[in-house]
This record gives sequence, C-alpha cells and structure tokens, in this order.
Amino acid sequence: MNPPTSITGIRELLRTRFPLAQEDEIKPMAGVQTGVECLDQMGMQAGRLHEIVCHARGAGAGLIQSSLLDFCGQDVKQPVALVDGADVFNPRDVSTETRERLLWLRCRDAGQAVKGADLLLRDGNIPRVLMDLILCPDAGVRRIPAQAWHRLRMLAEKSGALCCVFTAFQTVPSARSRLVLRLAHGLEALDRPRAELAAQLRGDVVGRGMAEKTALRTSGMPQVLAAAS
Amino acid sequence: MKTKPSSSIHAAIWLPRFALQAALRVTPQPAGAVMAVLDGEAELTAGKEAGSGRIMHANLIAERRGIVPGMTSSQAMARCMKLTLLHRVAEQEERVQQELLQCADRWTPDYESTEPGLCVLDLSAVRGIRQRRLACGEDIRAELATHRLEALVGFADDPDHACLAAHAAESVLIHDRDESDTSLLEKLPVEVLHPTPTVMEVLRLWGIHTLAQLAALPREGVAGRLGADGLHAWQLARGGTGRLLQRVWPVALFRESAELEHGVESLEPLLFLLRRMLETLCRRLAERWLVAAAQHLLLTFEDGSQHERLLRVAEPTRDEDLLLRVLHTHLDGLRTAAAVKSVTLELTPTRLSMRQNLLFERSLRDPQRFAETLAQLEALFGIGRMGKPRLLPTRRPDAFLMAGFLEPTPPAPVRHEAPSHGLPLCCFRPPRAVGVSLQQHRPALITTANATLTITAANGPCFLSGDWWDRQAWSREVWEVAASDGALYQLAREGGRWVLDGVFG
Repeated sequence: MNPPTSITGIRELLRTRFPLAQEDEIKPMAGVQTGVECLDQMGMQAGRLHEIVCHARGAGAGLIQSSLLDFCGQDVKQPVALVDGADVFNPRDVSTETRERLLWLRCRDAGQAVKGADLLLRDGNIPRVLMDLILCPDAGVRRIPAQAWHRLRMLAEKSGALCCVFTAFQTVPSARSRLVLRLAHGLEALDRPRAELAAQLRGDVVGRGMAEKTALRTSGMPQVLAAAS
Repeated sequence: MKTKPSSSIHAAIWLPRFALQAALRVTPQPAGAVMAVLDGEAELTAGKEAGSGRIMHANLIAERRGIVPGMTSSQAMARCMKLTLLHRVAEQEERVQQELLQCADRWTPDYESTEPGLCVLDLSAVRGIRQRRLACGEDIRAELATHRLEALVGFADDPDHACLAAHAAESVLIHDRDESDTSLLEKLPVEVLHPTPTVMEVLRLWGIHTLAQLAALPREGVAGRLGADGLHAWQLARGGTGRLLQRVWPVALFRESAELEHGVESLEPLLFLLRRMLETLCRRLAERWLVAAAQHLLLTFEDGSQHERLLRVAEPTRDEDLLLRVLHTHLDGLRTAAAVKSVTLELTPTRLSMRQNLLFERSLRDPQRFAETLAQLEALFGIGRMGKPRLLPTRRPDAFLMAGFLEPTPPAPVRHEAPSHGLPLCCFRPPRAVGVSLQQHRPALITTANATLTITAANGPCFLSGDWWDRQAWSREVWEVAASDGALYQLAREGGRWVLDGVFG
C-alpha cells in the first residue's frame, strides 16, 4: 500500500486505522448517581452548573441537598462545599462523616453567596459546590446579573467541579439542566423514612435549550419570610 | 610519666556560692558586709522565726569569721552579730543559671547544665582553643561579670576533671592530665564531689579530707566498704568516668518581634517587615529540618488594642513567599482604627508529614492555593461564618460551633448519624418571634408583623429540656405545624414566648 501523499489521504488512512478516534459523538462524562430518581434523571455531571427549583414549599429540596452532601462517588470521600445564602442549614441533618468534609459558608445575602461560590470554583479544590438560595429574599436573588451565572458556569467547566444551585424560582440562565420540584409534602411526611420520601420526589427535568413549559417567576418562599423581605 | 595530650578539651564554668550570688542580685549589700544565705526561701520560712534555717553559702568575710555551710542561723549569728542573713530566691537562681547557659552557648552548642551554678562545655571543636584557653577563660569571666556574676573556670581533658579544676581555680585553671601531678587533688576537699551524707561521714571518720587522699585508697576496699556511692566518688577523684555530656538542647523559638518607632498605617511597609521576619524564621526552620504548620500574628496598635490571629497553612511549608501570601490575604481584609505599633510573628514548627493519605480519601489538588482561598473567604464572610460545623454535646437547638476547615478534627466522642425520618429543617437564625393563638391547647393561628397563617394540622407537643443543673437551664415545647401557606414549620414555646425555629423542606 502506497503511503498517502496528501493531507486528505492521511486523514482517510487515520479514519480507517483508528475509527474510534473519529467518532463525532462525545460520550457524556460519568454522572452523579445519588439513588434519588428525579435527581439522577437530571444527569448531573462534574464541570457543569445545574439548578434545582423548589416552587412548592416543603417540596423536598432539603432531601436533595442532604443526598448531594452525603453522596460519595466511587466510595472516595471528597470535600464538599455548601454556600448557604440565607444561613439556614441545620448541621444536625447530616452525619458526622459528612460534617467532617463539609465546608459551610454562612452568607448574609445572595450577593455574598455568589462571591463565595465564585472563589470556591475559581480555586478548584472542592469538586462539589452546592449553593442554597431558596430562602434568600427574592429581590436579592433577582439582582444577581446573568453575567455572574455565566461566569460561575465557566469556572465550573474550567475547574471540573459540579455546581448545583437551589432556588425558589427559575434563576440561573446558564444551567446545564434544571429540576423543578412541584410536589409539596404534608405533615405526615415528617414521620416517614427519608429514603421513602426521596424515592417519591417528583419534578420536571428541563435540559439546556429546552423551553420550560411553565416558567414560573413566583417565589416558593414561605409567607412569613416573603412578608419580612 | 606524661600522657599524650587528649584531643578533647572541656571547660567547666562554676559560680561559687551560687545561691548567695543570686540572692545578692535581688537585695544588693554593701562591700565588706558579712553575708550568708539560708537554705529556705523567704515565703517558706515566713511562718517560722525570722532567720531560721541552715546556712547554705556564706561569703568570704563570713567564712573567715567561722561561719560555714550547715550551721543554723543562731549558731552563725552567735559568731557574728553583724551577719546579714538572706533567703534564697528560686526565680533569680533560675535566671542566673540561664545566663550561665547563654554564656556557654556563645562558645559551643555542646554543653551541659551539670548542676545549679555549674556547666561544662565541650570545646574540642573550637579551632585553636588549646593555645588560648587562658584568654577564653578570662573572656568567660568578663562576660559573666557584666551580669554581676563571679565565675571560676577550669579546663581539662574530660568533664569531671574540668569540674574539679574549676573548683580549685582562683580565676582560670588549666589542668593538663598528668597522673603524677596530684596538686589539683590535694587542693580540693572531698565535698566538691557531693558524696552522700553516709559516705561523707565515713570519710570524715577515716580522716580523708582531700581528693588526693581519697584517690590513694584501694578500689576494692572503697567498693567493699562504701558501696556504689563511695566507688563513684573514688572514680571521680581518680579522674572521672569518661562520661559523655548530657547536652542541653536550647528551646528554639520561631518568633520574631519588632517595635516600630513610627506607627505603620499602610500595608506595604508592614508586608516588607513581615517578609524580613519570615526570611529569618524560615532560615531557622531550615536549620532544624522543620516546616511551619501555622503562623501566629500579633499586631499591637497605637491605641493599645491588639489583633491576634492564628493562620493555618494547608500543607506545612517553609516557603517564605507562600507564607507571606497567606499573611497578605489576611491583612488585606483587615481594617484598623489606629496605626500598627508593634508586630510579632511566630511560626508553629512541625516535621514534614510522613503520613500517607488513606486509600478512600482524596487529598486537595492544590492545598496551598486552597489555604489562600479560605483566607479570602474568611476575609469576606468574617470569623465564625465559614468552616466545618462541629456539634456541641447538647440537645439545645442550633448548638454548634464553627471550626477551621483545615483544623485537625478530634475524633467525635459520639458518631452522629443523619436523621432517618422526616424532612430536613431549615433553621431561622435567630428564631423568629411570632404570636400564636391556641384552640384547645393546640396552636391554631400564627401571627407575624405582616402575615397571619392558619394552622391546618399540628404534631406535638414534644418537650425538650436541658442544663437543668445550671443557670443556663432551658426547656421548650416544640410543635410541628402545617400552615395555610403550604409550608411545614417548627414552632416552639420557650419561656412563655413563641418562636418559629424554621421551615421543613
């Protein structure tokens, strides 16, 4: 066989010799599988920005947050950061083991939370950054410019960290995927096992570029807080 | 017969009447005074009759008047009415001993603190010392004289002989080993060997007063009659046991301080000063093969206030630039009311970690950068608002403290598992005060300043209390309620006041 004499020939040869290298389709990165069905449907991946919208009060965003904090990919204990926009996290809700690798940032407002997340993603040492803005005043969350979210997305891509933002209404324009939780729990949920509650969580998954059917702009904040803010 | 000169040279510095010299630094007496120091401290003898105790050391004038160590104070006073009795000052004795060791440290790092008022130096490694032993001895005496201390210096080949030479010296005595020369031993009483009282009593009864007399006794006889203590004293009198020095390891201080003539108001000059300090401290660390695990910074301001901070580094290091960056990041976020008057920087030394990471634990990608990021976050959020939460051993709600993320975690006394039931609680900090209307002793309506919520269902009450043995005793009545806005709240009554602890979600 004569060696190729042109660049096109070389490309052709390479394509026949190494067909796998020429596949156009980029395989998705290993996703985060927490065992919570609706969360796993989101296809959370390292290096991506995701949003979890909790329209209904008591819809189970706390359960998802606990699952993501407790999650150990491949049984490797990794540090995890929680940027707590309204300083509402209850450290008793996670195990001692999770607390030992948890970096908790107790923010005063949503603006400070964005700055904290920015620093953590820029640093790149923490592979999972959760940002909870659900109980932050709506006005403060709306003041966050779209550029800030795009910057966070780029930083997450650059550092390879998973960034998940919990909001009370659709906020993050650059989110790779979005889970909208709708089902509110009743008082009887407080006596049921968490595993069962997590398995019954329901929500709509919206991918990037897909128009959400009902893009709500109303807050899911409890009335006592909404009135105060 | 002369033996070949040994290659080792030892010097002993002896402060005669050590306790008296130390006491005189506290209560100076006029020259020519008759003085002695008692063997108890002033506080210890305060309850007794003034001047009780035994004479420990007496000055030359007192000794000439027949006052010798071991006498009671009354016996001493009977010999000289003008005798001034002093008490020992332990603190001052320690200080004098430190000054003695500092003096030794200037000559060699190999020295031992043999006993209070006596230290032995191994000068073998000092170049050309054999020819200038006399000058060296005089230098040592002159240096100690500046501290108002009188010292006698003896040189010999081995430590024990050097001690004997110092005891026999009038100022500086060089004793070259010569077995036929017993003049040194003849000069010295057996007391310089500090034999046990039993051995001393037997020697006195035998009429043995000098070391030469003791050394002349047969070894077997001494061992058989005086035992191990007597044999040890005999060996010392014969020229020592050829022992090694019990070296003093000075405590290395990785601390630098600077008092500033003019207050510093900006960051640049402060960083310049800190860099210089770090250079010195890192050099000291390098000399001892150590690294810094943390930096302790203390700033004193012109208004008298202070700023103190312990800055940990993720991975122990002695990289000056990196340590300075950590300081820089911290100082960047610091606002002060007055100019900086003094700066103290101390590094916490540690050995390089030999620990292997656990198989199922992933270490940080860039620990040093992470330490900087943490410092930036702390500057942004403030102290106590970032880090690792650590639960306090109480059931009181929201009882936790924030620990630094890089701080080593002590093993928790009780491993706490995550709750297995119910929804997580989002805590309101502080809990929100609300008004609650009751119906049949159950909450029915929540009223806040801006909203009124009807309670559709309520679980409870659950009673919690703690610290009942203390002033901080607390008790709460907790309700879990579903409100008309669809949210699930935790409502609590504490001291007659209703509060919303948080919302479940």
